[in-house]
Amino acid sequence: MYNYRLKTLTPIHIGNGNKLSNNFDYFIKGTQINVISFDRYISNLSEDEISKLESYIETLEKGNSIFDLIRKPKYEEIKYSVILNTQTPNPKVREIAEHIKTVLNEKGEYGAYIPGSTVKGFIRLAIFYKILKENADLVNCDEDIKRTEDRILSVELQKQTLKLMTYFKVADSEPISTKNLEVRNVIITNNKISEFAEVIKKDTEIKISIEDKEFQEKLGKLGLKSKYLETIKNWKEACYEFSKSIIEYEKEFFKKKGLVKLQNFYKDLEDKNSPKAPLLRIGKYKGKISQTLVLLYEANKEKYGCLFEDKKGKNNKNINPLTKTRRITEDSLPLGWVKLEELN
Amino acid sequence: MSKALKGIIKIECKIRVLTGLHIGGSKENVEIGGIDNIVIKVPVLKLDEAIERDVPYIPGSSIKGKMRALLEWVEKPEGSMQVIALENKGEPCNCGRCRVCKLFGAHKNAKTEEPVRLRVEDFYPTEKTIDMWKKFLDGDFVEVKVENTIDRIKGTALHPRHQERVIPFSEFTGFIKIRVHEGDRKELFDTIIRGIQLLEDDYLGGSGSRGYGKVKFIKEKILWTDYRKQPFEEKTVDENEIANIYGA
Ligand SMILES: [Zn+2]
Repeated sequence: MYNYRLKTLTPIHIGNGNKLSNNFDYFIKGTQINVISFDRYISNLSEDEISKLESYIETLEKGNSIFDLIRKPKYEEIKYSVILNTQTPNPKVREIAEHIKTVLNEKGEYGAYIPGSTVKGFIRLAIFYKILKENADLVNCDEDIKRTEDRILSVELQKQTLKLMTYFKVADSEPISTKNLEVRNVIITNNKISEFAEVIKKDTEIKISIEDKEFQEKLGKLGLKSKYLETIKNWKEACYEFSKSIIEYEKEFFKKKGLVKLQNFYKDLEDKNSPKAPLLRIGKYKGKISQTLVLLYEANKEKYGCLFEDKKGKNNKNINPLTKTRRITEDSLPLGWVKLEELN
Repeated sequence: MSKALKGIIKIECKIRVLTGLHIGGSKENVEIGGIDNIVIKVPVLKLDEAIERDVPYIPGSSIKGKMRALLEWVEKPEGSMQVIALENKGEPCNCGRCRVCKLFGAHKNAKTEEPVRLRVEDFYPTEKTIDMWKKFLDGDFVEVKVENTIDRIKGTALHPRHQERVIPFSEFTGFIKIRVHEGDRKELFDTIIRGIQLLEDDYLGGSGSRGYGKVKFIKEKILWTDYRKQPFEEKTVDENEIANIYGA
């Protein structure tokens, strides 16, 4: 059922909205972070330990771990383990942003995955970017970006509004073993703020299914009269171009900052991007740059600038879409880059 | 004039969930910060040894509806060169004579007295699946997926959407029933098999275009009850025998 492969070129973090806390979610032993099933732990506690827990609840709030206060978790209470990959000596890991997971196998082991919606989100944005870049006349200064996107990516068919991307389906990736995860310290350039996050390691391969043939077939059968149909059909090329622009922009950014390692990283990334197997940037920490159409803004503020006006604000105040910082790993890698390759 | 019923073919199926499945339930009682999108559940499910409450299931109507929608992209109404979906401007077929109408019923049409051939029963989780849920989900039956809506301009996450999903490797069992009437041909059965294949290539449940609900149908056995014989007797048949049931 899978017809594509995603290869991670840098760590990827896709959050499930949950933050693991050192109070009762995990127990660190050396470089190993053992994530605990709180339910299983509690149900295994003796009556003594439970009353101990009750009296300790107050101190817990100060960041102490119940595994230090009550007892260490047993092997069968561990949900899964991940390695803490950090260069910080004696790191204080109070919280970890959790990567999205589901069940890996019938034994009920946990597996990490990449949601289809995440991949589709990038593809959709790439298509929109390419259309808008090639057709500046599509900008209507009364609309914000969202409405512009909705307008461009839909057609009228027999008095119905048909959203073109509805037929483009991306399923969730296969779940992969938590062995492919690690915890990284994500830092902000020119700032000391950092955050620990579970990430899919660099150089991991994950299969995913993209329903593109049916999409092409339906668009063909419907005989749609959207002049952007070709761009949509050649979505891989759109991804390639969008990524190419992001890479160029990021390379320049790090060059100006004098961050040579990151500049070189992006130089190498340029060669890995191709119209047949494009690079995508997904997940958290990818920064504003790829989520928005900042590249258009940069290219031509006169033409595209009004898309970035705050339509709800009273004074039509412009939002400056440019950012001065980036999220990177401690060893100077950006996050979120994957290569999409068709299988056989 | 209705044609005589020869009998009923029952396909006992297992539906195996390959990627997280979401089939929407009631949206009542949604509180702020609660789950926006809950999975449809049956209040009480009786199993061999136990009773479980609020158990996710797959309504037969969801399967049937999706199968019809997919078949209308490949089946043609009688006397037409175009597939139904295009011929009917997105409306379900109501010709009353094509395979889709015979199986699923003509849409909003009283002109025909063709009996509806297809019935899809609700699919319920197996005991093994319920055990897996309990173990994996710490006593719950569904996992909650959080989706962040991204503000395209500011690049920040807006209010996250919470969605319940049935986890992969879950299995549901149920029956697909096909009435066989005098004069029916095996192509009706084949159309159902085609519909199952299309469903496997597509998605079940909501949010398909965002990537949920890849499923696999596993045909466990096919049963045939001949209504012309007294007493009625249900027997297991091979897929090759279907042609004999319909007759030449
Ligand atoms: Zn019809």
